[in-house]
Amino acid sequence: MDLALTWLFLPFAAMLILGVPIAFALLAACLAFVAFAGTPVPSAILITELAASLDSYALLALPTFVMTGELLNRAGLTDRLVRLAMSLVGWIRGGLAHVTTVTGMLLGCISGSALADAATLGPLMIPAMKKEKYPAAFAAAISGAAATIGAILPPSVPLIIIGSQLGLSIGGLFLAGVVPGILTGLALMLVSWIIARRGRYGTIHPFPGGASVLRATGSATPILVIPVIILGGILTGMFTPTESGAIAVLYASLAGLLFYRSLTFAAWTDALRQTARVTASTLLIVAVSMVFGRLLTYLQVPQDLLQLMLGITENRVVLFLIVVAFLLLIGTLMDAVANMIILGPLLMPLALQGLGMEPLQYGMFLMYGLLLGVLTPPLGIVLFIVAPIAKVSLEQISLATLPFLGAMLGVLTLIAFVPGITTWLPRMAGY
Amino acid sequence: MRRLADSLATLSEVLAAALTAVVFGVMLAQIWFRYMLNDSLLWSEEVASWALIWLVFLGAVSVMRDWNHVRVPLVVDMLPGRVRTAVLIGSKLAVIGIAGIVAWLGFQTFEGGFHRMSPMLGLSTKWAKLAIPVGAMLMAAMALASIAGDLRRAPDTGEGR
Repeated sequence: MDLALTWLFLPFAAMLILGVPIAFALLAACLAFVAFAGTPVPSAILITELAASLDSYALLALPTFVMTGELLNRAGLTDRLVRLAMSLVGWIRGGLAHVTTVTGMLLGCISGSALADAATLGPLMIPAMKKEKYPAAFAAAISGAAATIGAILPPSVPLIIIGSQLGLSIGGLFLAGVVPGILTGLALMLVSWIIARRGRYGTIHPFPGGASVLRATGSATPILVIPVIILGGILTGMFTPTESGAIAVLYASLAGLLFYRSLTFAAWTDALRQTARVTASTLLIVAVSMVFGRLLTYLQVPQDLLQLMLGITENRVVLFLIVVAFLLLIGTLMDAVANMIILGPLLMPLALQGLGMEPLQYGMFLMYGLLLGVLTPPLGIVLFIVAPIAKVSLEQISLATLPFLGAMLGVLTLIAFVPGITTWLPRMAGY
Repeated sequence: MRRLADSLATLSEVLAAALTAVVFGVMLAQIWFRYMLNDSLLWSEEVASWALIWLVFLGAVSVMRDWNHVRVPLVVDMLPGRVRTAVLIGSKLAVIGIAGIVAWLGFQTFEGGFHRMSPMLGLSTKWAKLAIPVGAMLMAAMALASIAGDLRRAPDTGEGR
């Protein structure tokens, strides 16, 4: 059994370090395991399992939400969200930082990916903040942190992947993300308010008045219909998440091509091709990781891990701290999709029995913990997206990110110890 | 060689994009039939999931053409130019090897006898599984073409991509 594990991990680690794409490093590990581990797994199983991993209704939701985000970006409709956020929170001390956070939350209700949102928010907000004399590193840090909300609020690509791997309802997981997403937004705003007040950052904008808020809301309404479609469909049970995603694609296409006319047919097909590429590279990792994860389960690694950890301590707080430290570390080293698929079943016994979590709570906790990895210095990918936009060094962005990371760790702790945060809304909706 | 690789990659990407559109279309048709015609479609999920597997393995080909599959570039980026090119070519060779084995296993599985009939379309599931060896074979070809590109670039600049 230990020998089998060696065959699973050694080729994988070696190839990963040499820069082999993660999907292929995982495939190599599976192949080596089947060939050398001496466990009776026929090699045809590998192909059948790969195909079976993708035969999932839940995963069909993924391209729909990728496409909706791509369309919205290409149609140039994100400016309207910024204007709405500006009228709502721009007048508070540290105004543009709050505008960034609220825009991140609004984007998060439409797009499902932290990385895509970082690439959208960064160029939109960082130059504006620099113009108002916010320190560049602070501007980059808040943009990166706000972008992570894209993966927390529904729709969420990582939650689709976690749900399909752990057999949890996607609709339930989406609803479980609503309260944590709002809490994260509030936490980020609180931290940037404190920092901005102490450093006297930015310009004080006057409150634009109720009429202006209404006007901005009106101009953003055609976009805000999208989250209503998605959440409404799920809450009423009219549509599955996959179907509501398809409706969102249809709606965004019609709005961009016919209503706003800001989208050309060429831009639409371009969005479709980009969606195919993103879907392919994400789901290739999903499929391969699922096979890899199944081999781990076959070797009973999750149960062994639970016993090992309970042997160290049964104290919930200590267990929690160990798991969080592990998630942050692995989250910053490895791709989030592969992590979720492989670690999902691996940590589930520990979380459910050791930490006493409920399944939806665990799904959200796992996603949130790994998501923090994309923000953790010095390797978090989001830092590499926003730092060049702000033209700051990795050291500067790392330091500036720490307060926001701290705030999000606080939210993660709440998610772990207060089940209601994640379970209340899904339960209200009957999940 | 480069031309051929590029056009194969483009072809795969266009097919993958078309299949993405099929997924959206089938999902919308499913809703239309259920709510407007009061008649649930039975074949929609099957068609969509067949489209999905082909879209993944064809889309992955054009991602491979640009060497854009998710990887951990940390260690490789720290290496000096020449060594980095060597390691880069080494990892592409590894991809060719792995994809080659998967393609071989895949074609074997395709010809083997462990397939089900899909419940609605009545098609053998081997046609879905065929996406895996076809995609793997094309990905190996793309990795090979990109090694050729690295070798062409390497002598001038000492750097690969």
